[in-house]
Amino acid sequence: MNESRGAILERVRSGRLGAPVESRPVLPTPIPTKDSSSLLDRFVQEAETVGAIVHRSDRRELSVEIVLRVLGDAGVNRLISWEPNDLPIPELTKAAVDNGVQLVSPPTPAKAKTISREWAAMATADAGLTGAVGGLADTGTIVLCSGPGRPRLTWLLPPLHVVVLHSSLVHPTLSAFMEECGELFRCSSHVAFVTGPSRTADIEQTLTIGVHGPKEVHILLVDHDCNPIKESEAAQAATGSGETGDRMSKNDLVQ
Amino acid sequence: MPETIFSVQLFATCLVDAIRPAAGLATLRLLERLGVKVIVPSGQTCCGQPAFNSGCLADARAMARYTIDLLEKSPVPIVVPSGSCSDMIVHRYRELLADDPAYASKAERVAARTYELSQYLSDVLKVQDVGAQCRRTITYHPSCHLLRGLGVRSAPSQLLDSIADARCVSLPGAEDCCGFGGTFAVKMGELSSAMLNRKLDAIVESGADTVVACDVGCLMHIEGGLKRRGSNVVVRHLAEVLVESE
Amino acid sequence: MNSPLMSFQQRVSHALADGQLRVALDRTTERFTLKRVAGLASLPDADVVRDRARSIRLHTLSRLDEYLEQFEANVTSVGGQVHWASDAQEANEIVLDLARSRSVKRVVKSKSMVSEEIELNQALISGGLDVVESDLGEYIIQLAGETPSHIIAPAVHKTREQIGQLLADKLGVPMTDDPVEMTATARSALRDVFLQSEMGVSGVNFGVASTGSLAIVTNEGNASLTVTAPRIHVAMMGIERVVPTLDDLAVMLLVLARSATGQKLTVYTDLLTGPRRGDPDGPEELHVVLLDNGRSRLVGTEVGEVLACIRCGACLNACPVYQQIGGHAYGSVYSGPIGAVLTPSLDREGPWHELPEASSLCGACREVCPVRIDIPRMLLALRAETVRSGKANQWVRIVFWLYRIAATKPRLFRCGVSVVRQLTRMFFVNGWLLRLPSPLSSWTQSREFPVIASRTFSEEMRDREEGSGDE
Repeated sequence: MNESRGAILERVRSGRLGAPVESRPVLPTPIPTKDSSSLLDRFVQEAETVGAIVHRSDRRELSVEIVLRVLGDAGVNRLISWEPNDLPIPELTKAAVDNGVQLVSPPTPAKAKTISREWAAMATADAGLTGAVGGLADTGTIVLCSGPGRPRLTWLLPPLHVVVLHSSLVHPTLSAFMEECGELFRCSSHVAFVTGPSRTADIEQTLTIGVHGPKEVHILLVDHDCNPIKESEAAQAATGSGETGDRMSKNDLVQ
Repeated sequence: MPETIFSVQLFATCLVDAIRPAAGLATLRLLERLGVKVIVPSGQTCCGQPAFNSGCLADARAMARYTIDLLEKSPVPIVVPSGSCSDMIVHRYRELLADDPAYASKAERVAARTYELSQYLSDVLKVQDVGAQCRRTITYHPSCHLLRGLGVRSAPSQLLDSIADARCVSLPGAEDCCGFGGTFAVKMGELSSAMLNRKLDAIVESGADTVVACDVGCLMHIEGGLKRRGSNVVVRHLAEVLVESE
Repeated sequence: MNSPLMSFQQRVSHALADGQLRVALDRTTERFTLKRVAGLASLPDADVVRDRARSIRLHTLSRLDEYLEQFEANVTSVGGQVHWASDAQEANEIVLDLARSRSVKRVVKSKSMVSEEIELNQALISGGLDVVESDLGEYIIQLAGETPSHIIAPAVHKTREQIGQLLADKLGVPMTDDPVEMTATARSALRDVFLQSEMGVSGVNFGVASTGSLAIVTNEGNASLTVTAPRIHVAMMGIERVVPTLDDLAVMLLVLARSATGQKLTVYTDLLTGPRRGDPDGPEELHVVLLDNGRSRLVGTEVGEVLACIRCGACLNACPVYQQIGGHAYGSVYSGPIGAVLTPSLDREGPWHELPEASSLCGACREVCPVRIDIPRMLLALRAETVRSGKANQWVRIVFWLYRIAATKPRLFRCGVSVVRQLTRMFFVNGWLLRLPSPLSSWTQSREFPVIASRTFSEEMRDREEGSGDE
């Protein structure tokens, strides 16, 4: 397609001509922590170390209560929420609305061919509500993936980010996650590993929180049955993200 | 005197020869006191490191070949009272002469039996206490090539700790370079001075009356700086303090 | 790369005389170093991971052409477009053409060393575009009209007082020296920039060959916004930044953040695989500009290992020279020990042959490098190249030629030592020389120089032998 492509590749090729291919050791499979409770404890500890706030819940009703409390405590009036069916607990959106919170939507609905880029309304939101496809215990990281009902600005623009994570999705390490969930990257065009709130140290290496992204990240780590975010949905963007209900049990979540 | 079972040849280095013979004499005395038979090959000059570091590889190669020939006359281990010259012989001779069929394997052989002094004391003789005694407050500056080139981290400090009546104090930012770097000190004089000043501040802060190192290059650099400041702190090569007793 | 106005020596003097710079460097490089040590300590087997990271980089470089082709094919298959640029000019033209053909007026940028290297901002601005840097440090230096002085902390040369004054002058906000207030000011100033730009330009930390994904890391989240709100995402990537698989990427990310800032993982680690697919946000178009600019020529050479660099900045913080002079004195975007190798290697015709001299070869850089790049060895190779090509100072060559003659003839060597001894003993004071002629005067400006011993070690040995012969 252009001359540069051929010329660059040719120079690289002639440079390595005759040189042996350096070996790259096969990476050992990370040993998953057998004890799931210590894995979760590690996750909580690491997430808190990087400045996230972790809440744990083993009941759906309690989970809803916690989210409403977090939103209430922060004085949230305007909320960007993922499509209910893209949240592990779909009723969260409605509960927030019933509680007097106003929903702010992306300027264009999901699956639109072309989208508007009038983001001003979204930028006025006080909080974003999302669900994680994974957690990484050794770094306290949550994994988010974009999709038709899952705008990325939800976890980027508002000063407060509330994310629901099912405990069965916590992996020991990034390597373990990559190994098990590699398909995710073929399905979602933006997979984000988020480790704590936005921060900078560009002024004299002094840590300052909330420079561009959220100042506060609340992780709701839940143990009860819920509606998982399935990787396959992103792939089926055109046909919609139609999975609903509570019908999946915890076991089904384990990939 | 213990029975001699160890035999070495001493490669004194050009700086010890011309600037600080006391370090060479102390090394000789120390090794002999520990029962080592020491040969000092005559005709030794310079390992070639200054030329190598300045990019004058042809000159460095000539000096390397000369030194290898000198040291190959005897098969016994080579002891060098300098971290950077040892590093040159151990690591750089191989690279420098890799394409020289006549010298590549000789370079390997010489490298394999070359030891910096403190390395020889701790790794071969397995001594940590040489029975020295002096009333000094000592701080130790780990020279870069000894520390990071040869990976000698603890041997000199252990030997210093064993000196009776001496007090060892830690040097702030000990592993920072003193700014010598051979011709660097002249080519980049201002930069080198700034690095030296930081080192001198740290030496003063340590409260020591004696700075010890295993490289005469660093020692003459630090000493020159202390003199200019009018400081009373003295510098000594490791061997010099290890042969002291009152 | 633009040539600096002053000579390297002048830039060094300038930096050493800058009191504010020394304060800023003292405050920051030490903090960086402490954080890095703690970060690596949090890896149970840091040395093993570093070895693995190194082998991944070397392996990739040894098959770079194949991985680049695979990467290109996969980027294309997920709907992205790959553009190849041989040099800075071509890369800038590609981006400018993209902007013009799509009626772009505003461009938001997240930090990218490649775009600094090719001076993309200047090219876009002269092309009539509005370009705003969104990384806080880059934003600060853009306001100040300066260039970055550190790979990961571009404004490291500025004290907080200087930054407070800058924001007050440029944005009309009240003067403060509180980083929290300054950060809030930048946040609100940059919000509209993210949301109203039609094009977002980012760097790329790693490109994954097996999936065509781009990994981009920031702590601020500015890259995430840059590649989400604007219609077009242009990713600037050096050809060496490819890794084979996601598993390899995981290993590289493990050492990158730890070495750069001491974090276990950067706050935002984004993996971007093609443009949006039915999502209500994200870019419509994804363009990857693969930049060569001197890199391909280095493959298989003595300095080829420099291509393994992952731009963590650890060697800058560890370097006693960088700690003294900061990044600007190096005169190019890549500073510190890695810059002293990279800059003259990428730009062979440039005035950079003094950069490899700016090292005492102390090896601190090699010790901290997460992929164990032997920077001192490459500095030595570049010094040798300078001598070979005749660019070296003539006196250096003459001195070492003479020294070599003497050093390979012991009698001549001893004579030489005697002559120098006689000379030094004519001028010494209490055993020291207080002043030497040029070029040695740069030593005696701050240090005394020792005189040759009255009896050298070899003279002592000769006496001893003669003595023992008498017995």
